[in-house]
Amino acid sequence: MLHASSDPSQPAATTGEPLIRFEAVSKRFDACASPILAPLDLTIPAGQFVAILGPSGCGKSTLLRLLSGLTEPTAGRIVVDGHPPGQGDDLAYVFQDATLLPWLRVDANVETLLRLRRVPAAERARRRDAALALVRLADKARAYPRQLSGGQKMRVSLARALATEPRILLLDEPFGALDEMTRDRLGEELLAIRERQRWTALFVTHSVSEAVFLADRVLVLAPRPGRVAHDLRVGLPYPRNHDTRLTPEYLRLVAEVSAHLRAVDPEASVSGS
Amino acid sequence: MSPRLLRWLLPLLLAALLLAGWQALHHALPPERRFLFPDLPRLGEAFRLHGATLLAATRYTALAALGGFALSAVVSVAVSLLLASSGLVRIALYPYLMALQMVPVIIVAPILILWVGPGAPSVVIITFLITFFPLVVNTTQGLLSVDRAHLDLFRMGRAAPWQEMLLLRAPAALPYFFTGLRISAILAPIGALTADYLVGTSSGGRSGLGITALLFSARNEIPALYATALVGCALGFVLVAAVSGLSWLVLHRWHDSHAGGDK
Repeated sequence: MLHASSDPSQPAATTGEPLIRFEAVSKRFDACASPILAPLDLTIPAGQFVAILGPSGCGKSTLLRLLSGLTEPTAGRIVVDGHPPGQGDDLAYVFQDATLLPWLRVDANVETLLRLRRVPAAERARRRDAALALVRLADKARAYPRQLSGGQKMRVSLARALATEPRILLLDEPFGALDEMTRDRLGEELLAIRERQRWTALFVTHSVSEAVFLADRVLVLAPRPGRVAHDLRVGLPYPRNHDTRLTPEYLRLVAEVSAHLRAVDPEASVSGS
Repeated sequence: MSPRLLRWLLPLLLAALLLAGWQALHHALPPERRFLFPDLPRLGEAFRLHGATLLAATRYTALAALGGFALSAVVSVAVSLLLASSGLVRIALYPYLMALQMVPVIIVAPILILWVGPGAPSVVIITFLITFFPLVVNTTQGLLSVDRAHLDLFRMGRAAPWQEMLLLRAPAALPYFFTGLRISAILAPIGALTADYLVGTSSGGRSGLGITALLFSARNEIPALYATALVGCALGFVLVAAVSGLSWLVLHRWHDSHAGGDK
């Protein structure tokens, strides 16, 4: 499935109708005095790869949970692909942990969400095989999750999301638990998959280099209350690969984003002074 | 020595030691007390003399134990599904489930005899009462102890409540269910034997191990009593082994409790 792609060099506003729109969205949990998200306005056009960075407690994961309909905003309005969150079948979530069901083989795990949607068996099998091929794990289809490495589990988790053929992919620190080598390789694979399936991505991460490498837009959130402190474009051309990490532009962007991140992180500024 | 061999050899060695100790004790006691620890050959003789009786009684008690155990397994799954699907039902029902376990069997027995008559039906019901609680507690616990992230996954996939129950909670509860099943498998033969002792009949020559023990005890046949106890134990072992085997079959591919099943 191919979706409208956005030219990274174009500003977001000119790409037409935004795919995701936050209108003065705030979120507050009962027990906390300060809201987890301040009134937030944000539009994301179709095809964009948005990385979300920020210190803990700035509402990064809350942002994704709001989009997926797992939590409701306290105030404001969210529109996802023309409807309220949690109503369409056009959004898939990749969690921090692989969250595979240990009693199911890899192939059945990839089919889980399709089964919940009552997709017919033949169609399920087609999408499952396609998704497993995309993450290069077709040969592990009959394995149980506990026979896989951490990186392989994460790829199955990604395949499970891709099998739903989403327009929007929400990734909540998906590679956070992996070693750096695996993490870099999976990042490259993720971009390669995006070349073939133009979904829009919101990718929460703690790694500045990962954010700059993957995204064409980086949001740096500030905490208490969570708000967008910086909204940066990453002009590095796709396809990106290992050599991209060596270009001066990449290194400059990593330095710039790091500086922004330090500026909004209260703990970093204390230890830095 | 391989650990596998050791697992068989050590218990056998201990058995030999225990038997030797038993025999020594028999000879150490003053002659008028020796009947408490009968001569081992006499124990063997008891098996030979009462073999047919013991076999028939074992068959009867085994069937009753299995009946009560199976009833318990089926009902506990149904009740657990009910308990796990609603917090209100859980709060309302839980005290009564505990009460079911706390009911003194000795007091229920005569009432049961009045309700369903003596013999098999009463034995099965008492076995059920004794084995039900561990099963329902463990299974319910399993249905409720689902990984938070898995729940999020199912909520995200907008799973219907029955899908969440059948595709997520039920498989996640399987290891807990088998833990309950194993505890109940130990309880079932003891329960059936005790029940037979309390509500069994010897009419028609169809009596279980409880009644048989009662008769041996009345006739002061101490070796035969020991033989009955051993047979009761063996019954428990067979049932536990069967449940363990079943648990391995179902879980070894994916659950860590049966590590080493992969590759």
